Amino acid sequence: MADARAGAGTVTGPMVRAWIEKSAEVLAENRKYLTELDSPIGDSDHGNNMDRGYKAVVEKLPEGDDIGAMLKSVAMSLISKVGGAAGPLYGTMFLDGSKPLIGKTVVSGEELAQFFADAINGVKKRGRSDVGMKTMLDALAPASDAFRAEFAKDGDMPASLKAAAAAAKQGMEATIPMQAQRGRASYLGERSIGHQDPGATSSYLILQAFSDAVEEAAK
Amino acid sequence: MIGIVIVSHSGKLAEGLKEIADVMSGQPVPVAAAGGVDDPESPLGTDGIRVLEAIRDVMSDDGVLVFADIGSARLNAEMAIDLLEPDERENVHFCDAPLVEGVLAAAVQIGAGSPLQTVMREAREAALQKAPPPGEPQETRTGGVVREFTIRNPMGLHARPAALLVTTMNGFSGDIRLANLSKGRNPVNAKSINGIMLSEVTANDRISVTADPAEAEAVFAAIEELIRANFGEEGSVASRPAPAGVPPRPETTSPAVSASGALAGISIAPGFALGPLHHVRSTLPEIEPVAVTDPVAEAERFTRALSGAETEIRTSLADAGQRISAYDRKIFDAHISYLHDPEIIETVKQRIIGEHVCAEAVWRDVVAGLARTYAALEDPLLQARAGDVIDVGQRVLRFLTGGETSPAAVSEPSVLAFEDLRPSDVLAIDEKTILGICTMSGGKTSHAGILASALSIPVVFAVGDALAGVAEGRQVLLDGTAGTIVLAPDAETIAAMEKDRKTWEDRRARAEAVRTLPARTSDGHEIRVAANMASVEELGVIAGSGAQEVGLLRTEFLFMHHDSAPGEDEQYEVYRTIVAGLSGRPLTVRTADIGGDKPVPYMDRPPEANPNLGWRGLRYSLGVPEFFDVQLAAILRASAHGPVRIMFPLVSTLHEVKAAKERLRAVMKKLRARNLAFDENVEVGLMIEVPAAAEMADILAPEVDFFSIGTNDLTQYVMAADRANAKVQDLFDPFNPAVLRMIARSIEAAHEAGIWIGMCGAMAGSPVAAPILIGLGLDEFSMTPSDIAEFKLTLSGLSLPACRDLAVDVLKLSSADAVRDRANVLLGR
Ligand SMILES: Nc1ncnc2c1ncn2[C@@H]1O[C@H](COP(=O)(O)OP(=O)(O)O)[C@@H](O)[C@H]1O
Ligand SMILES: [Mg+2]
Repeated sequence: MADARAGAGTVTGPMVRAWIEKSAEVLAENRKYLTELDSPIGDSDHGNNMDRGYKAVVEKLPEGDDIGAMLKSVAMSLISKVGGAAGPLYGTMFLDGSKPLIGKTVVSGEELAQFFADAINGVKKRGRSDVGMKTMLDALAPASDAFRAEFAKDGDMPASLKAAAAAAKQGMEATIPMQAQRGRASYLGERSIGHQDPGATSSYLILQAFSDAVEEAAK
Repeated sequence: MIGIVIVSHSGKLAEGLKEIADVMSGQPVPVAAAGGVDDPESPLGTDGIRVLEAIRDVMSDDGVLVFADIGSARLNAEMAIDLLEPDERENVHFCDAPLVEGVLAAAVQIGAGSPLQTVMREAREAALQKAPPPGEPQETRTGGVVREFTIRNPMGLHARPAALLVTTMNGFSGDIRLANLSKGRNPVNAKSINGIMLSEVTANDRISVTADPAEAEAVFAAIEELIRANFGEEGSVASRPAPAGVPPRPETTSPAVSASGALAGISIAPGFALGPLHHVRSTLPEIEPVAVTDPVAEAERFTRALSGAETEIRTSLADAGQRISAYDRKIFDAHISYLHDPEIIETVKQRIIGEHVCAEAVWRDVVAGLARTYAALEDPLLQARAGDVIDVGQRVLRFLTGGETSPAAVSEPSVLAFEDLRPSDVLAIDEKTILGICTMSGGKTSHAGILASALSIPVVFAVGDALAGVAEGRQVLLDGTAGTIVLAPDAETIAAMEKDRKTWEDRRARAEAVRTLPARTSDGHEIRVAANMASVEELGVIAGSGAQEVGLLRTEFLFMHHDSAPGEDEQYEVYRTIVAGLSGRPLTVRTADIGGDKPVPYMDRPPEANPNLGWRGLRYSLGVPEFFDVQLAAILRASAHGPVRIMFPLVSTLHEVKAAKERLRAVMKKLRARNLAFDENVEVGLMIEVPAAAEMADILAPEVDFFSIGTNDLTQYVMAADRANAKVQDLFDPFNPAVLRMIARSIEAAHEAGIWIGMCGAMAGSPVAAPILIGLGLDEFSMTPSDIAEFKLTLSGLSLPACRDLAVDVLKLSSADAVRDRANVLLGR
């Protein structure tokens, strides 16, 4: 065993790698879907942006099990390759989240909860945004809360990530009736109501990939 | 040298912009283009890492400014700055400026060797290029030496020539101001590229330059040299002959105005004053942005300043006690509401926190921008709000910077000169030590204008920028009645003034004595004197004016100042407040006269080539019944609280009158159904301002209870002369017999039908028109409140038979001047 702490309540380096690779797959599969979501309230590029970004992520992902290093690399690739607003936003998210994890090959539930919190704060700071503005935060924030609550119960990592993904899905759907207050969609004012936010959708897909990757590894 | 990074979604745009910047900056300024993403399929986007590299490419100890276009470009620019090492980041700033104008302004400033803060400020203010510059912070400068020049190079002071001038001026240490005299612009800082470009100096324009005495000669020599060298341009334009009748100005050192000259403005309050001129700075001061370490605490300090300012307003209102009316207080309530504007507060806080700069700099910036936005609007009422914004802005600044208290305190009795008077300045005026007030700009309809018209000292607005050039302490003679300021009155002028003052004071005392008496001729013929009104704030002035009714309430203010049409309840509240404030005196409410010349954002109107002949007045109301009905319902409901009349503007046909009355009946029916009270016998009238209505007055009269003649529009339509076109002003004269005949015909038709007829245009308050209109039989005269006392006094010296004779005579005359001369004979003028 690589680390004495590795066990049911932790996430390991290989799991994170699997998550990143799975995210890339899922985003490639959903490329058209995300772009469709971005057409009525954006500029029809979100699917393309995320796919291009994650392709670069996988290409440049460093060897080894250093979780912080992997996540930082994700950040840098996204910053460079996404092109749209999601680039610096996801970039900041992974960058800020990765900092305390540099050098770690296994992270605990508490550390992961902190990762989510740092990541979300990064997005808020970069985007000058908050929950309720019809952005990716509406999927990310409830997921973070659900993770923390579920993990506090009995420290079951797969179950906690599953809860996080479920909360992200709900949060993503909750963006439909919202009026956008940030990003291109906000230029549309009231006309942004009735459409699901593409950024919240990609956030959900990434979290669902996390849950799936860890669940498979735990089997 | 300071570096520039251009972040754009488009690589081509970034490269192209870099190219222009290279050319404009005069000398090589480090500029890096960081646009687009590395994807040939879809190259639009931004790459944070590319931006990071670009910053490092142009980095030096002098700092780097990063500019971005929209959305993700900005996020990536900020991202890249965050990715720098802490010691690299120190002097790298994101510059929140419009990309193209910002980068170009910055390149010029950097080329001229300006410090980073100046470069940033100039870049940010480049956004305001298109707005006219009235809000620009110019101190009133005295003691400087002024010289005038004519610019001859074909391009004028734009682009490279402007940059060249700024670069040259930056070589001097003192303050240098430049004003475009030909275009009547305010003086600007000659070291500011925006200031120069905003002045729009084109070939053949005359400019005046003010410089510190110590270096003035050198400054002027440098400018002369630039002019001689054509600002580096090929060729120059031939000097254009001055228009006939205008003597060319001598090209020597001279004050901005002739030594004994007079400046003309608009009269706000009458009277004479002789005394030293004291300049009061009434614009926002320049504030250098200073970095703060604890932006959250800074934001809290800002919040405290806001509440401090609010407390101060409330205290000064309490201190002012009876000096201002309840309605004037509303102006300051509006000021308090600015202090609560969430949009402004949020913007300021976000910028403090986002940019880590001191609150005063951000606040100044936001307020100045807001004021400029107002000032750039076309509607004079809205423009006037700029003064209020600056007023509040300054008050808060005082709390942030701990600056001086009331600016209007003087050590000896003086005439105060303001760039623009603010409402709080009026409050702070001590009529015992302040002899009079004059301003460079401002209008009658501004809040300050309304308040100042009630002062007992002479007040003259809008004498122009030349006022700034009048030396501090210089003896001036302010004539509030004529609306002029004489700059170097000689003994003779002063003696004449003393005599005039005596006559004027006598006359004023006599006018004041009849102000509240009934309006009667010497032989007892009585007419009604009414006031025109255009906002709730005027109630205070009207209450004490001697008006026995309001003959015209313009309701446009209700619609112009809103983001959406005010609802029935909101309108009703306003009408009811006015009815209550008039304590039983009748109120004539004119339904909205909104036309294509006064755009109201929420009214989705097609553009019109000829708005004065377009879809305005009653035509618009009838076309948009949901709008009309709401206003009618609100006016009707107010009629339950006191006498109210309804008046329709711009009527042309009988059909329109019938349709309007039809709507009125329908609205009444609905109000009955809703159990809402209103006056069932409310008087309904129409305006005579279209020649067709005057011609058909006999046909229209049986439909209504009264007529009111709008002389401004009637004159414009009868004479086919646009009142806003200076070239045809001699035609735009209501004394033209053609207009008078229309008026005579309307009065006759009204009386024939047994209804009364009034007049609510500017002519109604004219003492010269008074005997003619009396003679023609006009029943009601509705005018600006400040004209009332004098009007009643004039009236008391007239007799009805003489007026009737005059009226018969003037209708046969052939010109406006002849009419005026004839009336003046009767008036003994
Ligand atoms: N200021 C912001 N804060 C948080 N999320 C934002 C912000 N601006 C945009 N987003 C997210 O980014 C998504 C759009 O991403 P993308 O299409 O890649 O960028 P762009 O709008 O530049 O084309 C939006 O759906 C939204 O979720
Ligand atoms: Mg998009």
